[in-house]
Parts: sequence; C-alpha cells; structure tokens
Amino acid sequence: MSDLMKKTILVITGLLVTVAVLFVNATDASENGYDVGDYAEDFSLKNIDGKSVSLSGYTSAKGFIVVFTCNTCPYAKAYEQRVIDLDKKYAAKGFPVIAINPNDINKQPDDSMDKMVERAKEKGYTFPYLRDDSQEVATAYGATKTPHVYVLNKEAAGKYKIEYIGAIDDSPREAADASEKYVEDAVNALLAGKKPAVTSKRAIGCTIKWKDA
Amino acid sequence: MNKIFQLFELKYVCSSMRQIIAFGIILLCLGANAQEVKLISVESLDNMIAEKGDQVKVYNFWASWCGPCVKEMPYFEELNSSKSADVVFISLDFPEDMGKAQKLIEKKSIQSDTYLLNSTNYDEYIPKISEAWSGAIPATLFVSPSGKKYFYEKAFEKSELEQVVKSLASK
Repeated sequence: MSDLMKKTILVITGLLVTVAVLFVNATDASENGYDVGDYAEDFSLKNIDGKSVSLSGYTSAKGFIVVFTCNTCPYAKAYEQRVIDLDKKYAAKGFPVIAINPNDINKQPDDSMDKMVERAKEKGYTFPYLRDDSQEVATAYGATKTPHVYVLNKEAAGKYKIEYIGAIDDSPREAADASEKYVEDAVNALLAGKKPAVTSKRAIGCTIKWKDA
Repeated sequence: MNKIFQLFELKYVCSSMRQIIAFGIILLCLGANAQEVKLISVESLDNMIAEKGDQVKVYNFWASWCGPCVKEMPYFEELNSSKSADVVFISLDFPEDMGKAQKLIEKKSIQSDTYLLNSTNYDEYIPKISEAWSGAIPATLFVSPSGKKYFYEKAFEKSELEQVVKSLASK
C-alpha cells in the first residue's frame, strides 16, 4: 500500500469517527431536550376550548410560564393553586401561564381532554390547558415530570429563550412554607430586564406517562 | 392515706399499660411480615450508597402516592427475596407521612430494607443521588459489585429489571 493510500485511509477513518461522535452527541442533545439558554420552538396544541394555541398567538406577551402538568399527579395537584396564582399575577404583566398535559391517556385515562375540561372548569383555570397527545412538545422540551416548569423570555417575534427550568418553589406541600419562589423570582428578574439569578432547581414529581414505543 | 392510694392506682395503670404495649409488640411480631420504615438522613444514604456489596445493590425511590412506583415494588421485592440483588426501598413521602409509607409496606409485605428520606431539600439531594435525575419518580439507582453506578429515571417491567440486574452482576 502506498503512503498516500495509507494517509487517505487514516483521514477517512478520522472523519468517520468525528461524524459518528458528532452524531451521537446530537442524538444526546435532542433526547435531553432544552437547556437554559436554548431557544424553544413554537408549537400548536389543542386547548380545552377546542381551539389550537401557539406561542405566536400571544402578540403582546413578553414571555411565558410553560408548565407541564396533569390532573392526576399528587405533586401537580399540590401546585395547582400556585399555577393559577402565577397566571393571575403575571399574565397581565406579560408572562401568561401555558399549561400542557403530556400524559398518555391509555396509561392515565383521567388525563383525557374531557377530564381536563372538567378539572379546569372546577378550579377556574384562567390559562390554556393543552393536550400534547403526540408527546412531541414534552419531548422537545425535555420535560420528564409533572409539574415541570419552563420560563421563556420572548426576545423578539418567534425567539423564545429559555431562562429557567425546574420547580415552582421549594415547598411542594404547603405554599405558605415556601422560602424560595424560583419561578416568581425568575419572572420578576426578566420583567426588570435582568437575568434570573437562579436558572434551574430540581424537585420531585411524577414521571410523565410516556406512550409505549 | 389518700396519696398512697393515688400512687397505688397510678402504678396499677402503668403496669396494665405496659401489659397492653407488650401484648401489642407480641401481636406485631406475630404479624411481622413487613419491614419497619426507618428515617434516614441524606448523609447516611450517601454513605450507604458508597459502600460496595458482593452483589448488585438496588436503591428504588418511591412514594406511597406514586402509582407506577407501587406497581413495580413487587418486582424489586422479588429480586431481594431470590437473593439476586440487595434491594433498599427509599420512600420520598413527606416525613410526616411516615404512616402512609408504613401502611403500604405492610400491604405489599415488603421484607427488603425500607427507609424514608428525612429531607425536603430536593435540590440538594436529587443531584447527589444522580446528576442525571430530574426528580421524577419512580427512579432507581443500581450499584454494581465493583461500585459503578447506573441510574434509571423510569418505571420498570419485571423482565427488564431482571435483565438490568443480570447485566450488572459482572460489572
């Protein structure tokens, strides 16, 4: 074999390895969903009123509090009133709540659209409660549990930068016992034109009921 | 005289209470198929996880309110009873809900060691258990005999769980 051929083979092998590594990394990133600092893609999901909701439909919003939640998880239920309160407090200021239910209804029939309509009516939801039937939005975001919150800052039309991911506050059981209100702090910072000091906090939640592959 | 009588009565009440307690303990022992849930600190759990074992060690994180967790518990219990792995159940129920965790352990006749994590500082302990854990349960940490950690944030089916343990036994 000539030197040139050997070199060519080496270079080609090197390239293949690089491509393989890049590919593996790329798959990893999509599996894990968004990180803080990423830009979220818009979506179109069916709301409890039968209409479709997209982020782009909120022309005057400054950002969003996107909450993956459901009817059935005890932690989601514990936080329900706090999600309602977040919308009451921040929708008028330009940061409305968008609630998304990603659970597979075969595994969790009580998360069906009909049950979502019931729940929203009963509790007086002031925000859209969307069904992510295909689970594509939850997958894109990298949501793993309910409740799982993403605070988005609208930098320009169609540019939704993720500024905070995680828990609503540090006290799942009692709202009154919370000493750190992570989502409120993040939104307040963004409203003041600042970066949130805390960009991610973990909490316990219920695994999203994924469809069987 | 009256005082002596009162004292006598008090002693009588005490001894009968002791009898009741003793009787209760005997009853408890007779029906003791299940483990007693004990509180554990984050630090003690950390130390426990760091200890290597002769076989695969399995830490299953669950809560009495978590349907998929309760569903998969018997699969883990079977691993422990068949001595295929060393199983430890870690309840993430609120510490004041100890009774709910205990009730479930009794209902499921769990013999594996069971603890309730005595902390609500989630953001501190979740990444300590595994950086890969977002906080969803069920979640399970496997530690191979050589001390390697494998973390799964998901519910297990029985066969899948057995396969994971089998594959880690030689690692």
